[in-house]
Amino acid sequence: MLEYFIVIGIALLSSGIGGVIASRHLVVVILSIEIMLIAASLLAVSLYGYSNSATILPLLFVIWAIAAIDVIALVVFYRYLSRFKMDLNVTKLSHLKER
Amino acid sequence: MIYVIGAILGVLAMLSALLVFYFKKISHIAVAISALFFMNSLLFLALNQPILAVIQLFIMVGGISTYLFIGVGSAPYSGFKHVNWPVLAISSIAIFALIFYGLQESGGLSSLSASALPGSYSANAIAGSFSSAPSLLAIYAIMIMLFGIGIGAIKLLKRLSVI
Repeated sequence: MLEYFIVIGIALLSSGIGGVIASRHLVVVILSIEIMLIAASLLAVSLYGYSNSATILPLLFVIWAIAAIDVIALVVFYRYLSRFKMDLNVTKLSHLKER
Repeated sequence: MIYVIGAILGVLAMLSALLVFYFKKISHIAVAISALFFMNSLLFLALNQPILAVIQLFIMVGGISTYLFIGVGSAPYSGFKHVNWPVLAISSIAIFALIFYGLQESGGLSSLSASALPGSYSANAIAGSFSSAPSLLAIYAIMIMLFGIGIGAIKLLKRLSVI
């Protein structure tokens, strides 16, 4: 049964990495990182029953903290989105250098 | 039974992850990733970890509501074709194969499963998850309802042209 969850976790992790590589939408890139974090938490909880380790909770807190930082980064970006007429297309972010 | 549930939840989770890349509007993408969060919390329940499943939903309600507001606010900047599907498919499959091959080389998944602690992945995990702490079930239900209220409120405000 353990291998089911590990395969699901690896599949989610690879789709998240693929999303970061293949997407040009800034929000989708950040959400791809969220998918990777979801996969990491699933793999951690899956392997908890295997390793009998009590160190899973700090690891999960780190994962959730990174997820929260993602959201905060997006909010900060949104703050400047309308002020500088920025685009959500990451290929156009180099235009910021001209400002 | 747990095999069937695990397979269904896994397929639904992967489907939700692919819908994140399929949709163009951020509000739709936020709904898709919330489905992924929900499937993940159900997988936590299947792993007999109800408290972690509830915490996962806590994070979902906070994070996804932020994504929804940003999605509504940045609608004029969004909506373009943003995913290169062949690159997504090739890179995802290549990374999956790489990790899977590495795992198989280091002993295989079946050896991991054989050496897992006894009773960790039992067939009645989902039903038995909340039996030790029934109040968690109420918190779980409240989290789901809060998220439904959030989506409904934003849809209503959009329909009323308030935002």
